[in-house]
Amino acid sequence: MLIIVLIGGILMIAQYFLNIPFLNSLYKKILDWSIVISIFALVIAIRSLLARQFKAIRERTEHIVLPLTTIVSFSAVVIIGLIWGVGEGGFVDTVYKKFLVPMQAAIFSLLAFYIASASYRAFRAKNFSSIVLLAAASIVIIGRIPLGDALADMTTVTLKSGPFALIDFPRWAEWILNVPNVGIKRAFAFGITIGIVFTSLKVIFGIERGYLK
Amino acid sequence: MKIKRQYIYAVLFISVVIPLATGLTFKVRPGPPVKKFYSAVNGLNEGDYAAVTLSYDPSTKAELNPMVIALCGHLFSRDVKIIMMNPLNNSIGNLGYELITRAASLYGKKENDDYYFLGYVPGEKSALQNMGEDFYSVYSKTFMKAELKDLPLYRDIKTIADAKMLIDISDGNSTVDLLTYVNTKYGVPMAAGTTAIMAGEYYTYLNSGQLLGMLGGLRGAAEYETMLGVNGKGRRGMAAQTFAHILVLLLVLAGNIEYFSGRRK
Amino acid sequence: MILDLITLALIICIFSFLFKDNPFFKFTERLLVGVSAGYGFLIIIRDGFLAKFVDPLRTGDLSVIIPGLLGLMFVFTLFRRTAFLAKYPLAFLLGTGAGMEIGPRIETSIIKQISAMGSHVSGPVEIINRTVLFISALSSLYYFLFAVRKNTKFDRFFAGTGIVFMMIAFGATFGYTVMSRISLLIDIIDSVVLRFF
Repeated sequence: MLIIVLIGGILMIAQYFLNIPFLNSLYKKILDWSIVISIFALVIAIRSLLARQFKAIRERTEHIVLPLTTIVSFSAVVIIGLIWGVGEGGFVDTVYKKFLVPMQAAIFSLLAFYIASASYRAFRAKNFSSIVLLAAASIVIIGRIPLGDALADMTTVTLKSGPFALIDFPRWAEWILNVPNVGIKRAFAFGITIGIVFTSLKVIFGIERGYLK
Repeated sequence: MKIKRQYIYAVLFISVVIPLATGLTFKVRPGPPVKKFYSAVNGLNEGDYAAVTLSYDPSTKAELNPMVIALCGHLFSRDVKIIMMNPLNNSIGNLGYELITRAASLYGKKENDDYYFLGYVPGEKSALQNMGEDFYSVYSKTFMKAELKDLPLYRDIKTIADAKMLIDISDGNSTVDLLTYVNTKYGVPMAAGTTAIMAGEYYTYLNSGQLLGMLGGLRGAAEYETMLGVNGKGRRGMAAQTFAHILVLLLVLAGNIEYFSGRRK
Repeated sequence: MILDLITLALIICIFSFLFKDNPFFKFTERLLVGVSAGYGFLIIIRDGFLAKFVDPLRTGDLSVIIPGLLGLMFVFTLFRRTAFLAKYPLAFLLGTGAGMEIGPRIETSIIKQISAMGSHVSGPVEIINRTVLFISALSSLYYFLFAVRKNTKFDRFFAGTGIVFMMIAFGATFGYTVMSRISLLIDIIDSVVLRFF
């Protein structure tokens, strides 16, 4: 197994850096194969979803209606969709538009309430760092709403070089995002990428074998 | 005195409902990322192909649907052909199809001629890279199961590199994946629309010029709609956004006042 | 219309969670899990299994047989004794995937990002901005790389600078997070709740 990983990995690294026709056609073949293989990986995902529901039924950890709801709704969508298709106006399309989409949006919209109550309870200007954080957050919060634009319009004075807004939250927010934010995010991107590259190398050379367990 | 969380929830709800119910609108001024996005899309010519990837779940449609609608309108008004697909997300298909169909009917555009909706394909990163080698080994049919071989697309597009631009509308890290596998590897120019949360991350790619432009969050959609001169959900939401943001700032302030007065005692 | 009312009722079930966890919320949540997984599964079967495996076989394209057989080995995970066989397709995907990752990742997120910092700038404002950007990137890297060794005054000062810049960036992210969350609420109220009044 480690041999498959090692050879596959090294050939694909070489393909990117060298232009060898054999490697290029192999690369194309592997891409075709990967697409087909990955279809079957969903077996694992579905297994873990259903196994959890059946376990809950067996061990009675919650009311039996709950896991049954998941199993029944899951099977109904799959079976009906496979027989009658997912096209406009069909059962799956209706369930998708009238149920799935608004429900997902509704569950996520709960986060708006939580962030409001968290900003009341958690954001304290306790020390220098948190003051900096709060200041940057406030600038972005005001700078991204029309109020920021309106304040800038109201405080615009005409200088020799042209109009200049004294209180210009949108521009300050843009500066924060474009200068210090970019510096930090760039540093993070380096870190993450180096992490990805080293993990990939560890996998290829068989140092990281967690997936074999 | 502590404010009960139920009161906070209620006030937030009201501060969003009232501006929406009264149809209050505020003016927004487009910022640099959106202006760049607009001019990048404007640089496309009649008959060019633009690939649009939808990489988000319906849960974040609030911020991203307005962008997709505005973008489709912009592309259609310039007679650019659209290849829309969702190779990185399998739950957006029907919604994306609805959005582009609705936009197309406004501009009198025909499916499978002026625009194509290809839907999902498994494989993620392998699929993205394979598009750069041979587009039809990834997609052979449209979402509605029309054979691509019989369509004009087949004549014009051999690999993803034949598209003049790739625009990713996403709620996660997919734009970086597309930059890695499509932009860097196959040289397709890219722009992005993303949720406000992710916008901060993508500034670094915008700053380096790897992204030609960016729409960030509902505000980004509102700015884009302003530049296009259309009224969409982005602009409609800005008044509610304003009131809710002010409320959040007041809550932070109240929390701090309470904390410091409590400490002094 | 009836469908819209059901949607509204279910949304109320979800919002009821704000007050207390309750059976109505739990039921709606479980229904949603089933439907979303069902939809995702359906799409993978339809646009994956049928379109990329069954259809080619039907039209006599035999090139999918080998990857198909490799993929079928994932089914062995269903049984404990044969589960190890599923590691073979996994090894294939992981090995080649890892190999494909390295080159383009380095180019996209390191080389191009570094060269962007060295690109031409003009005018005093741009030079100042570029300097700030450079210092913020360097100082935060310094903070992480030299987190263990904070001996000299310079170490502490420079790592401290990194923290300040990070706080600015986190603050901006927090501001944007507030914006995102509020937008989600705006949409649900606009597209569902207000339709009934």
